[in-house]
Amino acid sequence: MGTSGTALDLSQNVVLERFQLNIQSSYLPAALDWIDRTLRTITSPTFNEFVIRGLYGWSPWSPKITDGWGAVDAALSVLAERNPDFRVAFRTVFSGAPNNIQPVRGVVRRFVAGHLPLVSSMGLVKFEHVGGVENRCWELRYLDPV
Amino acid sequence: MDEILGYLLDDLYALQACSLTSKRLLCTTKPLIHQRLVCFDSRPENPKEERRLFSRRKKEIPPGAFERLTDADRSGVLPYTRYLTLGPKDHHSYSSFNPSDLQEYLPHLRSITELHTLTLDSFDVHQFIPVFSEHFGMFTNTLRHLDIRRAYGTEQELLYFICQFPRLEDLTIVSTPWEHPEHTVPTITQSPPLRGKLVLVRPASRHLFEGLVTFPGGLSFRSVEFFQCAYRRGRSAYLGAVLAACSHTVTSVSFLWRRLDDESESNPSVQAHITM
Repeated sequence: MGTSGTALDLSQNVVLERFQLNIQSSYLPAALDWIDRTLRTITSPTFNEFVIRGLYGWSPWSPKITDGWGAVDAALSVLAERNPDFRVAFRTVFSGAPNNIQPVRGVVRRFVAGHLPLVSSMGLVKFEHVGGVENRCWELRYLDPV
Repeated sequence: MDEILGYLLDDLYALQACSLTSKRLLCTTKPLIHQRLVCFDSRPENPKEERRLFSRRKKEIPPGAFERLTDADRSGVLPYTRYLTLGPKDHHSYSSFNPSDLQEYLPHLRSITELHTLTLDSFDVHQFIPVFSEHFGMFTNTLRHLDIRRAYGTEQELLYFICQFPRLEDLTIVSTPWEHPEHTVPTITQSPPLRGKLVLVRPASRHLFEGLVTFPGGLSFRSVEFFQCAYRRGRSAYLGAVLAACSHTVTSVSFLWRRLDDESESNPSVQAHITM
């Protein structure tokens, strides 16, 4: 973990409400550190939504994907404490994945509960268009009721 | 009637089918059916394939890039055009189009009176600047959204071209100009309001960022989207400068994250591979 990517400086954006990140899972290990540092620059009191979109080719039990969320979790909880309307959205996860990698909403929910415990326990996470075609899922045993 | 059309607004085929059912629906759906006009060369790459496809219907040889303007004008539907795309002469080589390519179609372009969105793909911005009024002046009062892809010229010329549309709200720039000859352009003295959405895709040059943030009227975008932007040290500062320039208005930032380390930066083939 930990790369040299310079974080975006969003400290001057005083009316910022939403920051959306489109990302492929293979870049996630390097990106998590970047995400953490970018989130910590946000000062806007109106900021109320952080969106992670994409995560194509995602394997929810791969250490590459599961490691390193702690700092992001902490940064998100700080934002949540600042604004009670703050939410974290996982949007369109897996929709572009090949047919053999289409986990379902339940998998993502379990992943979030396990790796973003702070924001998860605060009930801040929402899921939108997550899971793709659920009845073609490769791991139906993970299917949770929505 | 309005409720039906509300459902079908984005379904061109359904609108076309509805238009055949009654005279009233024909009149109502006509502006919606003809609101988009795409002038893009769609000829098959292989001439043999072209002959095979159209050998039985010789009269239906697909038109060139701009001949659809002629057809649309002949049909009397150009006043309904709100979205216009002018594409390359040859989409296989993306050869740029220039003022002489558009010259014979200017009377048809003048029939478009309420253009909202203009997409220019592979055009020679350097050659269009001296004749801007003649070729695009008719759109300056109505155009709100400009989408530029593969412009040929310099960043300064591109920025000058953008500022010729005084009511522009949304701006999309896909890649930066391909050629960088030494051309001088007039000083930009005023810029459009730019209060909508900015989309930058593969902006490779710092000159583009520097030019944008120094627009005389400033930037007031509400939404900013960066796609395929490197996050490495220098580039991140440029992205930050754009965000800072509209710091009091931007409410939404989207970022397509990709890694671009020093090795891949010097290797175009690797750079092309790292996309999402």
